[in-house]
Amino acid sequence: MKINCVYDIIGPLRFIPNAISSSHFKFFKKFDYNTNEHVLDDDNNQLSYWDVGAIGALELDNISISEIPKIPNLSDIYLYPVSTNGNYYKSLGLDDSDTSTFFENLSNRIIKLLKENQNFYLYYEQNGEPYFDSDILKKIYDDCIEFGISISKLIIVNGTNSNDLILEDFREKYGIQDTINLITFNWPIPFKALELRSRLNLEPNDMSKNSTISDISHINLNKSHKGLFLNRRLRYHRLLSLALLEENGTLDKLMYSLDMNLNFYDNFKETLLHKSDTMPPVLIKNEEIQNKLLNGYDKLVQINKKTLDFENLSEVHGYGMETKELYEKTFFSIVSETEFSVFVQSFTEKLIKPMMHFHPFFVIGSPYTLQHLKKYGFKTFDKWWDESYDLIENDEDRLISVLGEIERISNLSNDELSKMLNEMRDVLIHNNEILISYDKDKLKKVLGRNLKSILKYNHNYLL
Amino acid sequence: MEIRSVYDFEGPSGYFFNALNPIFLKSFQDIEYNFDKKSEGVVLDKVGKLGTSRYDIISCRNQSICDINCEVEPHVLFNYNIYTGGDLKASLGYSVHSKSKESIFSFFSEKAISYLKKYDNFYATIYFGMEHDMDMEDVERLYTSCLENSIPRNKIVILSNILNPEQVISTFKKKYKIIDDVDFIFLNLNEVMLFKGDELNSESNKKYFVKESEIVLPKPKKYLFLNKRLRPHRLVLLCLMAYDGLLDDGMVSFNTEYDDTSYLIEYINNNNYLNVDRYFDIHQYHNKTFDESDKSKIIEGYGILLELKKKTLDIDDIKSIEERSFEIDDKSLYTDSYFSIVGETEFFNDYKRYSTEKILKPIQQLHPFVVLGRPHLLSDLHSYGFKTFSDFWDESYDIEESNNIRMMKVYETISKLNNKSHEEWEVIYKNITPILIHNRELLKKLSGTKKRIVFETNFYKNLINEATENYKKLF
Repeated sequence: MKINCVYDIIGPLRFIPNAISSSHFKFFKKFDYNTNEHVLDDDNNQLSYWDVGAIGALELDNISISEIPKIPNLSDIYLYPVSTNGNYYKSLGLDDSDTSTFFENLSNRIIKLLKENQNFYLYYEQNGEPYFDSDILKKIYDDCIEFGISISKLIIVNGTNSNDLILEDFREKYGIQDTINLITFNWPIPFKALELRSRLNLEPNDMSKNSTISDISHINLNKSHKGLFLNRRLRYHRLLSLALLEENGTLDKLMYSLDMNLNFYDNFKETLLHKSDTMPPVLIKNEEIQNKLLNGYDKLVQINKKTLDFENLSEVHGYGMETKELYEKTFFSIVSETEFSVFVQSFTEKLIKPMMHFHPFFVIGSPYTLQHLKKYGFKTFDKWWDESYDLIENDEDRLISVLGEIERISNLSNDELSKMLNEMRDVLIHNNEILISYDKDKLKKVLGRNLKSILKYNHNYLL
Repeated sequence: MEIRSVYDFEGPSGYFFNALNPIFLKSFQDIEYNFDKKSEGVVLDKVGKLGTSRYDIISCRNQSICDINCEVEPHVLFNYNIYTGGDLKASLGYSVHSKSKESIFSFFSEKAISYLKKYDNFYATIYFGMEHDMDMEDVERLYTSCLENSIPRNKIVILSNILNPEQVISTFKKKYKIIDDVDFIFLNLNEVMLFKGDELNSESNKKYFVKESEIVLPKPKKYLFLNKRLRPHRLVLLCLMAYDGLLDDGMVSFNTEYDDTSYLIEYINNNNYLNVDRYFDIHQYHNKTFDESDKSKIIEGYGILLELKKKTLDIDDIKSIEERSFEIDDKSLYTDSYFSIVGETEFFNDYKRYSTEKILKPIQQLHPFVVLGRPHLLSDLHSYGFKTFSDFWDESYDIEESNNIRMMKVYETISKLNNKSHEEWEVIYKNITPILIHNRELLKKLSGTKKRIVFETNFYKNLINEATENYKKLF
């Protein structure tokens, strides 16, 4: 079974991403229509077109749709890739500023091919933020109906490990029972593996040239702080964690970053006490904890800003900005993931970072994050601390549990932690090696195998 | 030998035309990026005249620029194909009919520009289409567009029916004191000739052409003078003929209400037919103006034309045939008249050395002709092997470069031929019939189907061997 990647338009340098808005072409002219470049539109909005990650790694044959014969080869599979460009809302026209959906930019030819041929699929991939829910799915479903495409001809790929829950919610909420291919792609693994491999000179990648990566010998270095706690956008669960750790006197033991200008919840206190219109993303019922959080939050406001390797946190992103010194100076990492809810079980590049630097880690994130990670062969640290927090579905309980364990470990002496870190040596090396093993060949093999299983057996994991 | 046409974009309905202003893509998206002639029309209605369009002048394989490798295939001539759609001014961004005010050169892809600079077997060909208008301003724009976009001029092939590009270019260079010898490559392709030859060879068309046996004398009318657009030179000749009362002797068509002709009196009195631009030579002013008595005749004749308003032959509503530039006329027009007066497209713009399908129509129909056109048109026909009629009437008008004198010489010849008796015409026809047959047979041999390989081979040889002896005819 040969899998082909179909593009509507081939440009002077390469293919043009499918479903590009034709009014955007002019902005890419200066880069010879290389849509990987960053350009601004007439209103100074950045235009972003991403290549689809998994398909790119598979190095499939890219073919122009005009080359496809009237009766396509039935033994071949044709994927028409469309990226959300990291933003479902914009891609589907759910953004306030733009209500046009990507479906409007599909060629009539591909719509016809999708309708008439079993072996044609629209591959719709979300890289980046893993958020996905039943309302987004409903918009995709509605657009499919409007444009006459069966939703079963879409392969909807996202970074969520809880697609089964989302689908269940969708079916219950909208009473729709159609076959829907919701596929999980844990893109952060190959994404950060490339950065690590590049820094080890195992494969070239220009974008990672500014990163520095620590090696295993850091476990024997003197540490200035117990843990490393990196924060950029202050989502609700991050504010809760920072406030509680501060109030309990643990934050000082950590190297941490914080910028209250990036606070998503100016009305944090009202939200916490259910006095605002905003529904708290994490419901804290325990009054004692509530009080601690209120005090802790006030202290965060006073601290206002604390930076480590980069002064302007709003410009920090997930690739090519690794700083080994942060890991060399600390015993463990506290990973504050993007999502926290049980409905969006996911991990991002944040969880992979400590493994690049031979660091053990706690995760403040959605339940089962560690469990999902282990499926790839990574090992975690339940031999040295309690990781039962990972199985707690109640958000408040999970948060209290993981923060309690972080506090307990942070109270250990440097000698105790040093001894612990040395005991972890094999696990740390193991994790790092697994990450390194994600080279082009392995990715091609794994993704290729899984893609075929998706197409043949309704398998729902791409990676 | 292999030539490949290279395109920047390949879309759902095939290749886009090159050098397309991307602001127009939205309109093309609505028609599935279909760049054939029919769908272009849909877009043209929305966005006005485009600077370029899709036309594969060379019948060869098409390829995406991102798929080619000039180094691996050094014997392939890669041709970045540009077609002006018959409007060079729109292509250069200064046509009043065009929404875009940018030159096509600014829409070449960077990749194409880099290949033009780097590879000997990569050229950009700008094909003018059936119309071949190129004036001094066009030349200036061609030069500046290349400079502004860092495009090497010596890799731009201008494929047109213009026979004197060296004269136009040297006038421009002399004016601006440009001394470098890096120049555009001008190749002459008289596609009109190929097209009219094809018409003759088509079995289904045979019934539309005069057979030898259909040349029957005497003929009811002396001449045939077909006029669609009343360009100034056609109008002036009509005025002279009206003044001398010749309009009833021939088969003539015109409509003074089809074009605005109200300018004529001022045009003649103020000598506005002189091209007084920055290239004009003031010393020749007096040699190029009509004398006062001729001016009076023209103006008086104009009054007569206005009274007549129009004369029609086969077509009453000229607007209905606006897009039919290659129609085959009713053959009775030719069987019923002795000779054609051909009002060519150019006359007063005497440096525009090209000809159109108009001069080939009487050749198709075994009709002798007198041509009202720019100088040297007949000698250019001779260069292809056609014969004309200097043994039977005065054709010295052809070498007369002063437009006023040439106009009067043409008129004098027409007047004399018009005054010939049927008996005189019988003698003339006896002698010129072999010429008429020779010319038509030659045109058949110059058909596109027969000559295409020749011109494509010559095109290839000219470029791939760097034997760029400029200003060559491709056949």
